[in-house]
Amino acid sequence: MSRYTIPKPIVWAKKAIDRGLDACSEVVDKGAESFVSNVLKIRPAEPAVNDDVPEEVEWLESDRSQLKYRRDSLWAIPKMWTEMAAGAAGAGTYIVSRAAGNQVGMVAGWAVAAGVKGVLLFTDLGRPDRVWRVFAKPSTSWIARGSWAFATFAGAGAVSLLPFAPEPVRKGSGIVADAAGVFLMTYDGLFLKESKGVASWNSNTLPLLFLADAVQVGANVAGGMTRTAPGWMRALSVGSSAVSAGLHYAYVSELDNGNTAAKLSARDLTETAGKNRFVGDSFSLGTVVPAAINVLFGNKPCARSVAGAASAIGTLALRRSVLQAGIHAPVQNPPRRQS
Amino acid sequence: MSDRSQEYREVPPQAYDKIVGAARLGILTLAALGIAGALYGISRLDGLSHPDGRDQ
Repeated sequence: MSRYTIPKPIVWAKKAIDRGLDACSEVVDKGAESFVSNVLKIRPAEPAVNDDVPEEVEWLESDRSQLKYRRDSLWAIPKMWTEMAAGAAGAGTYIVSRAAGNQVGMVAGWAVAAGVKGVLLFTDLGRPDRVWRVFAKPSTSWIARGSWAFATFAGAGAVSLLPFAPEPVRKGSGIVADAAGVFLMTYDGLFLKESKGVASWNSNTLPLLFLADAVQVGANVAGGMTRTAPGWMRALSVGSSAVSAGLHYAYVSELDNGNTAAKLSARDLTETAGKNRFVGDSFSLGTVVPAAINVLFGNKPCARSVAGAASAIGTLALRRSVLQAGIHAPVQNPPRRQS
Repeated sequence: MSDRSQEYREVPPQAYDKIVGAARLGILTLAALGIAGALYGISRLDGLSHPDGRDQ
């Protein structure tokens, strides 16, 4: 029996994508620090406080400080948050653009969701020759359900864009793609919710937050790619942004009322490691700014393009901050105290 | 060996974080403007798919 080896071009492509995404994920934070240090010649008077997890555990539960709470390193990687954001933004843009009859927006949304997300999902497979296995057991596996939804969206969406296909076929395919797209927009939250070992992902609010965020990024990016945005598109942008803002708050409140690992994640998102991304990029830049632009300057195409860009950055930041705030609680019981 | 601390202005850690945060916001703004430019460029194509003058 011959052993299977992954073709070299696929191995090289996977490495190139991984390294490229790693570099991109650090460019904003490292670039800012480098600018301040090397250009402005400014540095802190004292070394920065180490806010790693164990010290926070001591702060929360001193009698359990010997146990390790650890950040997730399996899903909290650039490839995962990029493919999640691409799926949400692409599917949302396709659906809103189709409703508005904007063919260019439909093509762009479909290309991002099917193309970018598809490539990243494919390169994440350990054995590309066994790709069919991810479709197995959709009755029990969220990964299988997501794979079917992705394949349905990609296939039906492609048919809906074919210029030579009969109108009823294009319309029917578009409806199927819309349904699969809505599932894709929510799926990442449902999938993370099944992670019982990570309290901040095992959340009822997370799927709703991801859906509301995907709707607002879809409305904003679709609005940024059209010359005249109908009134309902701007209303959808503002409304979904308001819902998303409320769900940001509800999510953190839920974590704050949870167990130690959930409290640590809430602290990550609002006070320490992930504050800039969750509060700054996702909540403020990705939710409040686009809504304000649509209310004040929604009739100007260039302003809507800025709103679309801000919400796209926010969508990426939301998935990144949620993944990076995933903290595994210790699996063993704390040692009993001697009486 | 020169004293490198002479080359740098030292500020309290909280102020340093705010300065880095401002620089970060600047980089994000540039990125957003780049993406916005791409979206605006695509929006110019929108009229081509609506020759009925919907974009007027």
